[in-house]
Amino acid sequence: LVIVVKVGKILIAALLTMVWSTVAIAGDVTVNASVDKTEVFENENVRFTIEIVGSASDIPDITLPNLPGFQNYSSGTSQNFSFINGKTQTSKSFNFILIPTRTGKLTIPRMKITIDGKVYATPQFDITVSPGASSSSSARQQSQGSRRQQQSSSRDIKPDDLFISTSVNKDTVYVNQQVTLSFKFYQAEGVDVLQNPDFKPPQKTGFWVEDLPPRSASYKTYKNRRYHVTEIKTALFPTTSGPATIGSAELTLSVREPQIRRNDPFSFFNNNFFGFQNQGRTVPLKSEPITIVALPLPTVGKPADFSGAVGRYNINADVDKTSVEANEPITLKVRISGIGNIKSIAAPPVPELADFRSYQSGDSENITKANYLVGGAKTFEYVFIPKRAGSYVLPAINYSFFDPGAKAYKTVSTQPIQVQVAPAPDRYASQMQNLESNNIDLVAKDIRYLKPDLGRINSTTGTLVALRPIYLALYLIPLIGYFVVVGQKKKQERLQSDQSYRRFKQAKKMATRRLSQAEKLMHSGDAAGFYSEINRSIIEYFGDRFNLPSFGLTADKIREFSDGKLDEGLTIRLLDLLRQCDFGRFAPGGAEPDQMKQLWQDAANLIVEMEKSR
Amino acid sequence: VRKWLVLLLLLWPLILHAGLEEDFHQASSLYDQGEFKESAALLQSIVDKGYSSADLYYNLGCAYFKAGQLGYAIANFRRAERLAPDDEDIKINLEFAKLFVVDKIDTGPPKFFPDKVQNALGKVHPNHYFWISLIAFALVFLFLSLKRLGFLRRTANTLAVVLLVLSLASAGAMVWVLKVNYLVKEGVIVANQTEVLSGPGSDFELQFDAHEGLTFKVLDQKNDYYLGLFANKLKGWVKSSAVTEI
Repeated sequence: LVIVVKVGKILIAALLTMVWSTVAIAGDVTVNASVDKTEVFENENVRFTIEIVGSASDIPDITLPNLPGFQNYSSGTSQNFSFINGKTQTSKSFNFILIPTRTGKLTIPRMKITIDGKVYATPQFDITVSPGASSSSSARQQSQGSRRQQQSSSRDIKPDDLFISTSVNKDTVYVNQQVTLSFKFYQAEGVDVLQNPDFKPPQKTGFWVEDLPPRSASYKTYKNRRYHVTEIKTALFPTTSGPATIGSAELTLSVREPQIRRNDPFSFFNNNFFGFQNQGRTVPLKSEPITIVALPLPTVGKPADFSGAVGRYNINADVDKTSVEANEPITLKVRISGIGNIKSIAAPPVPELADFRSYQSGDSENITKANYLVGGAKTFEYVFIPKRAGSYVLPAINYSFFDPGAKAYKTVSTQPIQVQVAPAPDRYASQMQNLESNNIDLVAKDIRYLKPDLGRINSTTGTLVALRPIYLALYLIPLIGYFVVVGQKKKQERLQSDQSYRRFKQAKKMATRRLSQAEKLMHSGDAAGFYSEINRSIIEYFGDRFNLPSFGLTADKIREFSDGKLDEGLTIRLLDLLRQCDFGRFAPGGAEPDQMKQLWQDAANLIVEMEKSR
Repeated sequence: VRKWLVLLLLLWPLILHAGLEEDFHQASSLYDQGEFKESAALLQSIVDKGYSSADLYYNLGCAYFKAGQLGYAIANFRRAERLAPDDEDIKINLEFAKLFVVDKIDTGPPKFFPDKVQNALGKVHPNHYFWISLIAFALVFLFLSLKRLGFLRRTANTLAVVLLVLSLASAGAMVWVLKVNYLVKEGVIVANQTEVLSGPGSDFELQFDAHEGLTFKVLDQKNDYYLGLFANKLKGWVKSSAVTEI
């Protein structure tokens, strides 16, 4: 038997997983296949399970090809995830119901399954199908003592053997008011369901959904038949006004043909406890959709703080302590309890208090579903931190809701709570003592405020002048200034006290003065005066230089005195000049202007040269 | 054209200053609005451009403090204090911020130098000591010169001696303040928590855990680690990425 197992879908999935498996951990995958029995009667069925276990990143859907000799149905998949040592372990089971169509030896062939690029094969199973659902019980583990087998031929399932229905308790409600949806599964007595049915709950778009366990089971008589009724309830809260539809519920089951002998007083036992003739049949069931109308909440009388809660609620408030120190937190718990969609309750507005810092610190809820009505309590926690000592009142907290029973808005309030706040111990002050500065009275609870202006940027205060040599050099200025002053003062004092020093220092000054006087005389034509002045300037200069009384200084005395003290050449020139002066002074009319000029020049030069030689 | 260029060059610092001033005030209004992180970022951008002033560092410290960055707050208050050691606001905020440092190191017995004198001396910027010393020194010689020139014959010497003592004392105070407060490199821990190790590397042993805002003197630097001297004479190496230098 050559059977191609790989369906296109699997191939594509396999290709995709090949790509992915380079990244994902290509883990160990095991493929197990099993059948629940290998010997069946003609009208029994075989359950065939393929289980894939491992860390496969993607497990393809598996569909069975047509198997010769069988009709097959998928009866669903089940999947488990587990994390072991950080690895994802996946286990997925594909369940199939195989119904033999003929007797004899039938084969479930080997099948290839590609997972993450690897090919796995399932073993081959041989199934022996015996004709008729008769006496042989070899295939059965449980061998019942007395059997009242019925050689019944197949009977069809009638619509009233199995059916489902959905209903609601109200079809017109307010927004956010509870509608209870009830799903009922009617199973006539004598109709057995072979395995867990596949239930597809109705679509509930536009509703907040809350399951209402437990599911109930009871027996009911309907149209003169006893039914086993399973009921599942769900609470629905319409989220917006207007019509909203609850979709169809679907239930797919596999049933055994009813084996009912109505007149048999033991039929109950027979069918429910001892029946074993199985003829699996898949029966799909479907219910009708239901439309609900959600009314908008009235606008008249709606409180300002209304936040959308519908139901019946109470409010109460509680603090953990009523006497604290400043800066010590107080926890206020506000509990809203009652009937309604507790999960959608918003925090009640808490007034801002000037003497407190406050914030919401969390909430918790506790849902109850007694009598299939959703309710419970939601607790909101607020932390209040008193800023300073005193006696304060935490005011009442209001909560508004719409009561659909009374069709009116209602507001509930908490009691105001008194709190006593004692002054805080000065923690900062005690810490300050350990710090370097204890001259600051620090009682502040915050840093000081900003400076208004940028101030001098990049100012010299930013650099340390002491580290710059140029600034250190400034210290020299007063020192230099002082020595200048001292030097000047000393010079002045000597000029005053020491005559010879003074004459010596001022010799040139005096001589120059005389020479300029002589120049004037020369220009005014006073030749006698000119020569006399030149003569005096030279003689007095000489006297000042060597601290001699200029009076009575003759050429002889000059020659005598200058010996060894003045350069010989200069002495000769000096004496020559004196002679010329005498000559000019006493020579009548011998005053040539050129001659006088030459003489003056010589005298000036001589004094300059004598200055140089000192 | 050249005249205008010269004028622009002369006015450029003023224009630049006006721009900085604008950013500075914008940072203040961000601070008022509770946008502390943004305020700090704006002020930090001014600092990063290379400008500094005591008030700038002070406001930056305030913004960092409010933004919850205690380490940077303390570092900037300390920088402000170095520029304006006599500013009381800076001192108070620095001490206040230090209260939030997790590590309270016992500084041991009181030091030889009485704390009060130390504090008082530290309140004056070393540059001010420098100018006081220089001016006193100049006055010494001014009075000596005046005496030479025949003025203040009786008092000049006394005045000169007093001024000389003042000058030397001021210079001494300057050297001391420089040594204690300015010529030491300081580090502030800015990471939430960091390890203080016995050597410059993660292989060395853990001495203790230091927390944000703890200040230490930097003694050495090696392999991305600072050798810090903490208040209780404890030494240890801290990863430089966890530290800002003052």
